[in-house]
Amino acid sequence: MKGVRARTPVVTGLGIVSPIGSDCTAYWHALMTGTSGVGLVRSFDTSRYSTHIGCEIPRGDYSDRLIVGRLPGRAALLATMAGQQALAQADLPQDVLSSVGTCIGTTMGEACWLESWPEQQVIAGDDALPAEELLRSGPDQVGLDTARLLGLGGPVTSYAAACAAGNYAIGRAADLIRLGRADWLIAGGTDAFSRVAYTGFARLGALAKEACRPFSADRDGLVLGEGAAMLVLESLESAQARAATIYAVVSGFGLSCDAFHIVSPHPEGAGVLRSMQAALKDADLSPDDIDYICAHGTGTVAGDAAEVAAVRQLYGGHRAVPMSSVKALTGHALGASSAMEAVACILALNHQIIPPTWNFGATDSACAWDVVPNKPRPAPLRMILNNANAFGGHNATVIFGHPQIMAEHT
Amino acid sequence: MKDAVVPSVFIVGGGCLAASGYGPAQLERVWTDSSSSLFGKLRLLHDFDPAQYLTMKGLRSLSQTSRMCCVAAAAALGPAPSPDTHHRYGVVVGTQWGSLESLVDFNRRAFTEGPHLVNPSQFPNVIGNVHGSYLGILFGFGGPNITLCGRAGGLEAIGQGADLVSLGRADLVLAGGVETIGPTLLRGVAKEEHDGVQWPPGEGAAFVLLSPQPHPYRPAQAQVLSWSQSTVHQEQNAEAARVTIIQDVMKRSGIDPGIIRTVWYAGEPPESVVQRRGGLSPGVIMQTLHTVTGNCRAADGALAVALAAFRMAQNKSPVLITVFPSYGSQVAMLLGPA
Repeated sequence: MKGVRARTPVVTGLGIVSPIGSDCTAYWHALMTGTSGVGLVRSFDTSRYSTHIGCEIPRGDYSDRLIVGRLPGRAALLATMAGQQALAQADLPQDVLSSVGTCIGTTMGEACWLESWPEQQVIAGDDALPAEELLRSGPDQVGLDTARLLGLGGPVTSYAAACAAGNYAIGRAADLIRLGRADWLIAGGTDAFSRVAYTGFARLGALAKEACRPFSADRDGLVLGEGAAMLVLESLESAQARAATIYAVVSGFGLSCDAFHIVSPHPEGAGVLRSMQAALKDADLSPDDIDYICAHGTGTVAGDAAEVAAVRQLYGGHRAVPMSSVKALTGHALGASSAMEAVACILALNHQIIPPTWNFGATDSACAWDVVPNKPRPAPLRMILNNANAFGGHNATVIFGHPQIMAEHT
Repeated sequence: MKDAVVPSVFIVGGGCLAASGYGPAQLERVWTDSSSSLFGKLRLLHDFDPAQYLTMKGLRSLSQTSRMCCVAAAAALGPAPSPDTHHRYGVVVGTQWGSLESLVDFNRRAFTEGPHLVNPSQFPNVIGNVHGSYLGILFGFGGPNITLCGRAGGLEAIGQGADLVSLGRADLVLAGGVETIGPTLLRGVAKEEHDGVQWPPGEGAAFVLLSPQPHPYRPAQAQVLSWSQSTVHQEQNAEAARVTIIQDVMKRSGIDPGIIRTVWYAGEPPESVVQRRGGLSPGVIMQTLHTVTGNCRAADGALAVALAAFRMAQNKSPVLITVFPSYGSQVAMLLGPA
């Protein structure tokens, strides 16, 4: 059976914390109803920026769920919350938690420590800085803190893979299961709302003024967001042996690098195309086996056009598989985004509904494709391809299959 | 647990850079000749100029971390890297703090100049995967491009690179580690005795080329026989995790641990109980590059692999490499002759 093999990785738990909902039910409801998380940025003063909107999770919305322990950064905290949901859903036996591995992706790590330094202290120079806090700012600390807070004792791998980090982590977790290097893993992405990232994207002219409008002719950029999403992965054999509910199969994983430009995507989407092709080959699938593409779709002029160009090449013009972006509602949560979209993919498989591209206005010829505008679409969904395209030209694609394909296999 | 897929992975090139030397041959010379007078000094690359090692356009706007990656990678690739994009050639970079000094600098400029005036060309250096991106762009590697983080990041990167080859995701992988340490990080390290190891901070970069077979014009130096990892959380006893890793590495390779004569370690040396329970011979020789490179963190494991692979041309016996920080990811790898 296509998409299934020995030690096939399957998803038995999922969790999410996002600006549009802090569990899977609320998140899915928002995706179906078009509830947006976009608002004025509250976590810092934007008066000296040309844009003022972001997608933040309300501060304080999470503090009552904190696990007692050494204070983690916000990225690890969000990942822990998502991880708790995923682990609860997977209902793993307590005695295996000490061997559960963690794969986590992030863009900014725990930049929160550095961003909390007061302006006077920063300007005064190195002598005035609490420099030891910087040692806890790296992406590795996010993974270590998340695993520690979740009580997981297996290997921890932390990826700095910018906006594709979540897919990197999920794909790697699937590889670890296939290779027999792990039996259970928690994998996903996390990023906290970052002033440094906001500044950088603002200076690159990449931030939207009013709203994120993926693929629409009037799109003018991304809306920076935050969040975390985590999946529990294990082998099909393990899940079946303990009669766990399987929510999806991780059927394929592909990676590529544009090797083109440090901030601009390849205009023809050459790297994105290779990533999708690699994932399809890994899953032993053809493009026609895909029922829906969950796009990276950030709402930038160049990025959306490059992704559509890649998809056009993949299908050679003979079929327009539905493709949509959820970022109109969630914003772009950087390293968390593709993991949040992985949750959307799995929920779509289980509900048999494609989440639409909200905020879609007029068609842009550069993005002319079936982008499922503004209305959820019921559809038979068996295989979903989740794209992530990152800063630096890093691309990662994960293909999720409906759990039913295993029943057919067995 | 046995690897589901275990094809051979060869090391067909290696390059490195540290304050004590450029290239495995020079590093070996310095290591062999090291004297106690070098002990305790910072091993930083002051006034590092990539043009001293590499004639390549596009290096000017790069951070010191990215520049060091490029120099070490070019050395691993040898004299004639092709300008064409290789879609099946991958990059895996391990670093712990590779972009943090740039992050500090960007944050400071945003405060002093105003967020609306900060130079956007400096933003990419803030992002953790930028070093791998530049390697992909400048060397035309269009395959998987991975950046992972942690104290053992360089050795883990080589392990993940070997997995990319094993899984058929890439035909050639440039894998290694890099660490730089700017003034703010240096101050942070000084304030917090972070690693439990008394070696002075150092800077370094090292990359090896991994291939599923000896390349027609790149002879194999060594093989990656197996690798394993685990994690030790703060205030947790590390011994059990380290024993498990060594046992796992040996089991995966199918090699009797008793025949291992040399262990290259970074971070903390494997404790005697770890050596014993891991099945290593009582006479095993424990060696470290810290004496000449300082504590180069994520670069340490990659430096050790580059040097061990280079030496394996003469010394044909398997070598175990461990990176055991006081907490965090612990990684071990077994190299064997090609």
